[in-house]
Amino acid sequence: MPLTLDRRQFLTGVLGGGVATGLVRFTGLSSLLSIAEASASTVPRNGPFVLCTLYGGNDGLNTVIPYESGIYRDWRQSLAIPGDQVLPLGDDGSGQLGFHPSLAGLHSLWKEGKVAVISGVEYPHPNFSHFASQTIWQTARLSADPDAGWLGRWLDATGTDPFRALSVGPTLPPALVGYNQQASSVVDSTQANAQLPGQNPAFTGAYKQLMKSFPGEPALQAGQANSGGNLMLIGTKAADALSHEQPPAAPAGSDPGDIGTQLDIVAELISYGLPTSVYSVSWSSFDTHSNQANTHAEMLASLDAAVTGFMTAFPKAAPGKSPVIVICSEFGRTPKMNASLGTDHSSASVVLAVGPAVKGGFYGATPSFTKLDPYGNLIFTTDFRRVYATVLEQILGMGSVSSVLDGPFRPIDFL
Amino acid sequence: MLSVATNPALVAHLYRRAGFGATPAELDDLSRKSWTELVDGLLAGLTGPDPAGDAVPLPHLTTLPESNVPGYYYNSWEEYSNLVNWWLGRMVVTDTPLREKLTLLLHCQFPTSITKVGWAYMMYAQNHIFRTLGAGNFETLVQALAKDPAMLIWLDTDTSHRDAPNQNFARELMERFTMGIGNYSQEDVIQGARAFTGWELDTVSGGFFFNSYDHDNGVKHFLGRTGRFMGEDIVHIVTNEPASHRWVISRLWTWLAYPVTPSDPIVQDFVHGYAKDLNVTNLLDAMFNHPAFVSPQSMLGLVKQPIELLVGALRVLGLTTAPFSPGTLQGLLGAIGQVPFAPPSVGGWGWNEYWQSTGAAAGYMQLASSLAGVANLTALENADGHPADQVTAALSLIGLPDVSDRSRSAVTSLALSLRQSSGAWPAQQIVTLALLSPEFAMN
Repeated sequence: MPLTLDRRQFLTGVLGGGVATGLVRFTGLSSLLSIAEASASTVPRNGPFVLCTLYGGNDGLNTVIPYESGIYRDWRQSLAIPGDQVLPLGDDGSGQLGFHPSLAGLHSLWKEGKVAVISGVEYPHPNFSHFASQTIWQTARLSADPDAGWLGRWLDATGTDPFRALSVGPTLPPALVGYNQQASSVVDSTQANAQLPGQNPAFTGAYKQLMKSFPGEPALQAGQANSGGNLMLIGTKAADALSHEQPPAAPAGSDPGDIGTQLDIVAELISYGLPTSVYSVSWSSFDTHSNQANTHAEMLASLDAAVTGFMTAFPKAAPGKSPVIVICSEFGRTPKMNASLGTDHSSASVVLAVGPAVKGGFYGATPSFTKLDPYGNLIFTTDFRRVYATVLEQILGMGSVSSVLDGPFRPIDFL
Repeated sequence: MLSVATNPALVAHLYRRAGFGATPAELDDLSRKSWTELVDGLLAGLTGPDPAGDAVPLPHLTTLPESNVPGYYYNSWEEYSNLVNWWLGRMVVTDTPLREKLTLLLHCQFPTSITKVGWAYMMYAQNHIFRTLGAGNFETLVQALAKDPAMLIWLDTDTSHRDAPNQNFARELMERFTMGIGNYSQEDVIQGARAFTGWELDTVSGGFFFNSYDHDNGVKHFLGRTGRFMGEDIVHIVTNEPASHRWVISRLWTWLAYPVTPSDPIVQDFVHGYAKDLNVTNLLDAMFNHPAFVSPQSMLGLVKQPIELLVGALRVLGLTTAPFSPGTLQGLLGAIGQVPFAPPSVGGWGWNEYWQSTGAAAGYMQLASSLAGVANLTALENADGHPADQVTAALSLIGLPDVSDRSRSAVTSLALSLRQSSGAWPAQQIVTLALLSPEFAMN
């Protein structure tokens, strides 16, 4: 049973806690706190921003459901969610919409005015490849060529502090990798019980020396050194943050990689006041090509529990503690059900923004159900880069988004 | 033929890229051979016997008929862990390192995950296809993989039907496996998907089954051709496209030398040869003998994937997977993000910077510490003399005699301070730190 580490073991393992604790205990926090104070001015009024990426292509039509539409029921046949099970949101101008029945917690938050439903979000000329579409979303560039991520370019433009952006998970989403800077990450799963030598201050001191790149060091080798150097900075602070909290025990059998655990870690780090403006969590796979009904219901239920659990830590807006979770996916799914009782890669979908400072309501516009593209996909109404512009301007405090988004994009007024 | 000795640094490079690294003792021996002898020896291993690898006992893996269980789910976590240990074990001891390396690279090229497939046995069967067909004709390999039960489940061919073809396999076949984005249209995906309808998994035998009643045998318009194409025809067409030649070459070069796109000029150097017969062995031969393979760009062009780093570390430490309980190495790799048989998606794992997050750094610390804790380091423990000499011995052990001053002095400062506080020679911590040197992460 590899996935039954208790919460405390998990968090300590995760953050290289043995190492970090050693540092906290033996080397003092002064230098690290000075880093934190230096970056305190970057803590925004809104925020931090929490990017929640659902990989695989989440089915927008069965997340925010046009349940009174006959066209929707024809498309979806047995996958259509009956109107009496849908959690009603009201009419956005296109007709009545409602949440999937798995989203009861988000429905309550909607009623409190803390959820923005942004409809019809995508980019021109849809690309039905996961990788191309993920690349477009992550780079905010339409070429689909691998390139610096949009948050990576924000990192490039704002200094070198490794606390600015933190990703939960062992590998970084490309969105958070810039030309020169990248986010730091904390790992979200460990099944190992290694005795870390990091309890020993001599070891951590030598490790820091080892992981310091030198002038002229080959780029990849220097990158390796910097990953270890940044681990020392991040691990120390994060372990200190977590040692101040007594989190509730995780439910038995929960997977440390699941979205709930990831958001729990983020909630603790925000509550502690880490000077971090951007957090990233992600989850897969929403690629429901076959037998979609149960899988999708279960994934949405887990997402719902994770987001509502997270939000209990932030009941109302407070400086530096008004997180805005933006939930997005690389594309929606084909309006028509396929013969495997699933749906295929498609285009426009729904983005949700959740947080104590979010102005709840409908944004964007639900696409037409009668005017489709040649392949029968919905046609987008709202460019995804407008969501990013909102984040960059109103959470990250950028005066002009053009340098990051290669042009002006009008923010959406959900904050 | 008279042997001409080869520069040990180049031999080490070749054996890291074409295998999982040579130990210092192996290097002494190998460096007496010429480059041609070395490459030919590695290539011969692609089809030659592998007594040491074959001696690693395959764990019991339940087959579908044996299970009597309909439907798919993790048939056993234990079998999965045992399978991971088995393959890692082969990589460590193999007599034919290039074949195991190619098997790994093909897993990276055709990433398939047990999290959806559910059956450890099927993952093993796919792994066997990589090992036995990987070095031959590329089309033959892809034809086998298209009907491979794990692949049928992974990309939904199994649940695709004549009335509503599932596009998943047809798309990834072109996008990830054979040609790359930009060389086909959405219409080609739709048409190609029709050709694979009726390709099913026989839930009794666990093998491939062609259901002609659920196959769309109509005329398809695919990549500018028209015909009553079957799935086999589609595989034949895509693997013989010029775009596929460039794609396959660029992927292999990316893992063996340095990352390139299909339009990189270096790719053109191999196109003529590869297009003749789609033979992977000949392509590898051409790559290892290309001057750019030993260029500075190549020598500094890759960091090890976590699996490569783990296997290389086990080898230099004189370890096999035997001392580790099933699940241990799997867990250590999981903390870094690369567990065999469980890639994150059909996109597989990335390379280089992808493995250089702070999270991975924490995982590597656990990994290095665990391996050094198990290794027999008594030879180092008993070494007399100045800590600087002992550091040299430790660095030589792991194949890094020429590290930077930065790394040498960091390891030396640890040795000095531990000596001062304990009076002993704590080889375990020294070797742990040495394994974490940025130089060791370079492939």
